[in-house]
Amino acid sequence: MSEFFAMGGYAKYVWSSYTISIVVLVLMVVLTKRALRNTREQVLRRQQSQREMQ
Amino acid sequence: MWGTYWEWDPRLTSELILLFLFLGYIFLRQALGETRQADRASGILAIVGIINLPIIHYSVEWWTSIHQGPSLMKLEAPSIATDMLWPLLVMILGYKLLFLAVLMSSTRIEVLQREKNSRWVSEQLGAKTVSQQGGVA
Repeated sequence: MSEFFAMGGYAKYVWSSYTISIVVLVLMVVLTKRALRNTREQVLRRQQSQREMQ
Repeated sequence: MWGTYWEWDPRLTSELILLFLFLGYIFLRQALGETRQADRASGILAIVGIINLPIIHYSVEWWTSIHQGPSLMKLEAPSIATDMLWPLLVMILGYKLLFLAVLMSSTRIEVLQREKNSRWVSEQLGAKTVSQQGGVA
């Protein structure tokens, strides 16, 4: 098991690559979803306030 | 194993140019305040930048490189062990699909922001809230 995690002496490179990839992928998905939700709400609020003005 | 962090190798250098193209694209868009102008300028930069793609692909054939020759993108059978080939192909597919999903969401954001005054957006979003409110009530 520890032999597997040692990755033949290249553990530093292998596992840091995994960590960076996972962090970037998760952040990318979460931030995009949040931005889409925020944009929707923003546009909706804007339209509602415009409707009230009319 | 290449045994080096950096070398002015054809593959590494052409990929570095690609990185600069991406950075240039991002900063060009941000530098130009007006949307139409930024669209045009960054669009031209993106199209011109495509020239770099075949250079990256053929860099390992045209010049001597510490990178190996093509392992997948060639006419003969892939020169990679089968138990590494399948995970690689599955992961490539996974990354492409994820990229496509994120790209589509980003496009929706962009379209919503640009078309926030048009009727179809208010119809789309408005209809949604009415039905949602109807569901709650």
